[in-house]
Amino acid sequence: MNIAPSIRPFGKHGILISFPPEISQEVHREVLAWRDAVLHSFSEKIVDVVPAYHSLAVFVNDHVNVETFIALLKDLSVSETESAITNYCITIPVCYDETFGLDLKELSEAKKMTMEQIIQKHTAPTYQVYFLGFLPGFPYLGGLDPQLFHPRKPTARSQIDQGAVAIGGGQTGIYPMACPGGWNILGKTPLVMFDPKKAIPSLVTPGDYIKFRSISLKEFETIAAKVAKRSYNIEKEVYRD
Amino acid sequence: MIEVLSGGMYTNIQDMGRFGYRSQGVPVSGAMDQFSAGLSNRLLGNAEGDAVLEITHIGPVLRFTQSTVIAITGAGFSPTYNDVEIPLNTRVHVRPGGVLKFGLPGYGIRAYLAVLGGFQSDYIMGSYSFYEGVTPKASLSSGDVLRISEITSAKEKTTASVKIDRTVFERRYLEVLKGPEFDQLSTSFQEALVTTFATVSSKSNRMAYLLEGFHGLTATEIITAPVQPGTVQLMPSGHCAVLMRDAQTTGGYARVLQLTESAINTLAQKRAGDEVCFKLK
Repeated sequence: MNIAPSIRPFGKHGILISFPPEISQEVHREVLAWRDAVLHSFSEKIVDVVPAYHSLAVFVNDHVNVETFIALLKDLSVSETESAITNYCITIPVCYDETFGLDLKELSEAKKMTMEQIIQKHTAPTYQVYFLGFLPGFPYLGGLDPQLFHPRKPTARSQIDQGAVAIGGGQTGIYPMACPGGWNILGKTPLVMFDPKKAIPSLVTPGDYIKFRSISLKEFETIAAKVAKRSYNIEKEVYRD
Repeated sequence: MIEVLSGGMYTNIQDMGRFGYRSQGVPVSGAMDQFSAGLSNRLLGNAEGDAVLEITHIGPVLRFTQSTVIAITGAGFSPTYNDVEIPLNTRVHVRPGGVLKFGLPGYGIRAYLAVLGGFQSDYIMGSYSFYEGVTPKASLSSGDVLRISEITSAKEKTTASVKIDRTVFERRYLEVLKGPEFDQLSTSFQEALVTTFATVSSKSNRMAYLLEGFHGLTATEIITAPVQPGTVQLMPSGHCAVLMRDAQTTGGYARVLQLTESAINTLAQKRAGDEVCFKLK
């Protein structure tokens, strides 16, 4: 597929590249192909490239004229197959014990499923990381089983723990840091999703995939201790379609 | 060094922003009123990217443990040094043991304190700017100690001050460009959006300013897409959220307008109850 996107100015130093408004792997592949092509061809002009579901924003240096740059973008040849960025599948260990899975019981009652069934359905898919937003390192994931879709809680909690794994509507995500929120909490990962001291602070990047793996409370403690000592080896492998 | 005797309402360290990490969901941050922040550095001959102290509504109380030169710009606070009033927009020499207080602002809400050579706080991911989850602290509190550059005698001798046109703090019009979803609004909504005087809500902060009073205006949510400081989101509730320096990198509300840099600086000095009106450039 090759759709010609709309390319328009977005503020004084920004350009918005948009595809038809839909959430699909097909459209998102185009978004990432454009991200890769822009980064590859114009790295010296670029400050930030921010992908989302069906669009990406390109922010350029102060001295770059946006109108001139748009003309260059319209002549850019973008190929999906030439991605220079390696995508990984990263396994995220999650403890679904009720100690952390504060809403698991409520969800199991609402869905008329056992807690084990919910955990099974949550750990089965390979989720695609569409993009990061909302909080530093917060992944917007595609691939949640529609049987697990569940509305946000009527009243948001004043604090959701760092590492909480939750469902909000048709989405599932991992909280990289503590914050208020209304999503239904299923469990918690001992991994650090965002570490500002690392060269690449976010554990996952757009285009990566993740799998959740159910772990016991004891395993949670073991992994948390290794993470604290920076001796935990992240389970990740190169992702191939 | 500078000892923080009282933290004030929301005192934090900022530079011109943290770039290169927005694809990881990290806000740009940076001084809310970048014109005033830049001016404080220029008065001292500092570099544009040197870190300054952003002071909000209620200023901190600071004690210097070394000599340096300072400059305070932005909102109309009435700062005192050792209980003697000192001028804004002027280089002021300070000595060990000297205490700086700010009082309350007569106009504007954000002031900037620059010190010679800039504040030497943790430089994380290409910026000094405080942001929760990225830097150890989001704002200062009493007991904090701030590192600053050692003074060099050559620079210490000069004096400088600038006259500021105070009417910039009274500006009620915010210059805007059309946002990505502007054309999806009906003509009457477009018209109302850029002619209504809206009121700044008390729920305004470094992340967003909430504007109320767009009666009857509304827009449907969009598929989550990139946003930036200055993006005006029209929400189903009929309020407008003007995203500011600590804005999230993506959002799901209609992006109807985009403030110019100068309009962001103007809005950053507004307080709850102030009225503003968007004006298409």
